[in-house]
Amino acid sequence: MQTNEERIEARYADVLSGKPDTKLGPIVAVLGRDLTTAYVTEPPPQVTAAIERLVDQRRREEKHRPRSPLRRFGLRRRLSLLAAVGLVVLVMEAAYRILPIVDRAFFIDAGTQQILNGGLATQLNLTETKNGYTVTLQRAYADANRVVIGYTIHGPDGHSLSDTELAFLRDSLRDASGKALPPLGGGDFAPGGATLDNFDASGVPSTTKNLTLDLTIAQPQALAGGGLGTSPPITVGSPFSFHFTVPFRGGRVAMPDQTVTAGGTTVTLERVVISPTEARMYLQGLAGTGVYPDLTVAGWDSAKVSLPGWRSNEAGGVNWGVWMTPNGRTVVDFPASLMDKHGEWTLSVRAGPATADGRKVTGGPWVFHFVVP
Amino acid sequence: MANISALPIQHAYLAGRDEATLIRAARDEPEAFGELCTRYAPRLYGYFRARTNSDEDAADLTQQVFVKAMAAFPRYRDQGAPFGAWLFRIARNLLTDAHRRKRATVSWEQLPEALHWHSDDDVEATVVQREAHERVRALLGNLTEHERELILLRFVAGLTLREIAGIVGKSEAGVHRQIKQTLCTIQERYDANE
Repeated sequence: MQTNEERIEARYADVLSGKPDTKLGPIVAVLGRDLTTAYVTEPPPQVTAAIERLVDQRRREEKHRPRSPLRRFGLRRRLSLLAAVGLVVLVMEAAYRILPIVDRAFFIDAGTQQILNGGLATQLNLTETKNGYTVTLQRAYADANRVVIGYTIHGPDGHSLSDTELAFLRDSLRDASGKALPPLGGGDFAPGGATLDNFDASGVPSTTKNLTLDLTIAQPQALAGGGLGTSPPITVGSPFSFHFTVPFRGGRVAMPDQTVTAGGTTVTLERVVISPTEARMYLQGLAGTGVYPDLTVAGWDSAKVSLPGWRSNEAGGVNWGVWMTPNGRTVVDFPASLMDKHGEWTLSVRAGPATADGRKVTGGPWVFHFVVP
Repeated sequence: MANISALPIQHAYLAGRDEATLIRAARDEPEAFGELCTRYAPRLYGYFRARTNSDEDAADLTQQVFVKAMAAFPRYRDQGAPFGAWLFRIARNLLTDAHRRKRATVSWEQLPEALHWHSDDDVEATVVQREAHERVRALLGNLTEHERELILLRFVAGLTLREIAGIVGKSEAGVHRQIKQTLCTIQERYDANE
C-alpha cells in the first residue's frame, strides 16, 4: 500500500520524469502537501452563487437566441463559408506570428487593433539602457479618451522579461505641465517582453493638436515583496524616462443628460465621447462598477465583438471596461473604432454581482437612446 | 471536487461526466458550463489566494474568470490550449490587470493577517493551514517571480506541464527543466533549514 508521500509523488510524476527520485521526491511531497493545505480550499458561497447566476443568465439568453442566419443556407454553402472564415483566421494568426513583438500586444482590444491596422500610432523607437536592462518605447498614440503606449524591455544578455516579471514594473505618464494621466488598465503583455498600457486622456483639452508627454518606467520598492516572496523578480535600478510628442486626435462629444429610473434606481447618462479607439459613457447614480453594459449602433453590437488574431479563442481580449472617476461617476468604455458610426446609439446597463469592495448596484436595467454629433 | 449533495438538483446528473464530454455539452447546455466552473473553482480560488492580498479579492477574481469564460466560450477551441489552460490564461490576464489597475501590493509580511483561514470552527485545521503557509513561505521565499509562478501553476492550480507551457509561452521541455531546477533550489533551502 502506498504511503501518503508516495501518493503525492505519484501525482507529480511528470515533474519527476515518471520515476522515483530520492533527491527531489521528498521535496515534491512536501510542496504538494503544504501548498495544497495552505491555499486549495472550497471557494466561498458567493462564487458558487455567481456560477448559478451565470447559468441562469445563459439559460435565459439561450431561450431568446435568434436562429442562426447560417441555417438559411444549405450544408454545402455553410461548409464553404466556414472554410473561408477558417482560412481568414489562419492567415490572420499567421500574420500575427510575424508581427513585431510589441504589435502583438495591440491585439488586446478592437480599438488598439485599429491603431495598428490604421497606422495611427507614432513610431518613436526611443531606447534607454540601465543596469543591463534596455527599454525601447516603440509606439505611442493619443486621442480624446486614451493614450496608448507600447514598449519592450529586455534584460541582460537580451533575455526577454516574462509577463509575471513585467507586472512588477510600473509606468506613469505626465503631460507637459506635470499633471499625471491616470492609468486605465486593460493593457497587455506579449511574449518577448512587450507591454502595452492605456492612460486616461479625458483631462486633455479638446483643442490640443499635439500632446507632449513624459513616460517613466520604474520598479517601485513597495512591489519588491509582491506575491509569495520577498526578493524582487528583477532589479532595474533607477527609472527609465522618455520625453515625446504625439498627435492628439479629437473625438465626437454628446451631452445627452438623459435620466432613466428602473428598479427603483435613477441613473443619468451625462456625457458620451467617441474617439477613434474607444466609445466612453459617463453615468451618474450607480452605486459602483458591478454592471454589465452593452452598446449598439448602426448594426454594431458590443456583445458580438470578436477579436481576430492570436487571442481569438481566449477571453483575454477586452470588450468593455467599467471604472469610477474620483468624483463618483461610473464610466463604461468600449474599446472599439466607432468614429464612423452614425444614427441612434443605445446603451443598456444591467446590474451585476457585488464587487470586491462590497458595493452592489441595484435596480435597472437602464436603457439610453441618444445621438452623437 | 464540489460536494455533490450541495449541488442544485439540475447539476447532480453532470457530476460523473468527464471533462471532454462536458465541454462538448457546454456549447448547448448552460448547466454543463456551470459544472465545468464548479470543478475548476477550488483550483482557481486557490491560485488567486496564493497571488492576491485577500480572500475577497481571490473570490472576486474567481468570479470574473467565469464571467469572461462564459462570454468567450463560443470561441473556445482545443487547439493546443486545453480547457484548464484556457481558464488559467484568463486568470493570469485578470490578475495582471488587477495588479495594474490597483497599482499596489501588500508586502509578504502582511499576508498572514490579510488572509482569512476558513476554519473558524475547526481550530486544529486552522493551525494546520497556518503552519503549512509558514513552511511554504520559507521554502519559496527567495525564488524569482517566474519560478514561483511555475510552482503555483503546477502544485496549486494542478495544471500539467503541457498546459503550463501553453500559458507561459515556453516549450513543455523548457517548463519541465525550469521546474526541476526550481525544485533543486527549494531542496537546497529545505536541507539547509533542517
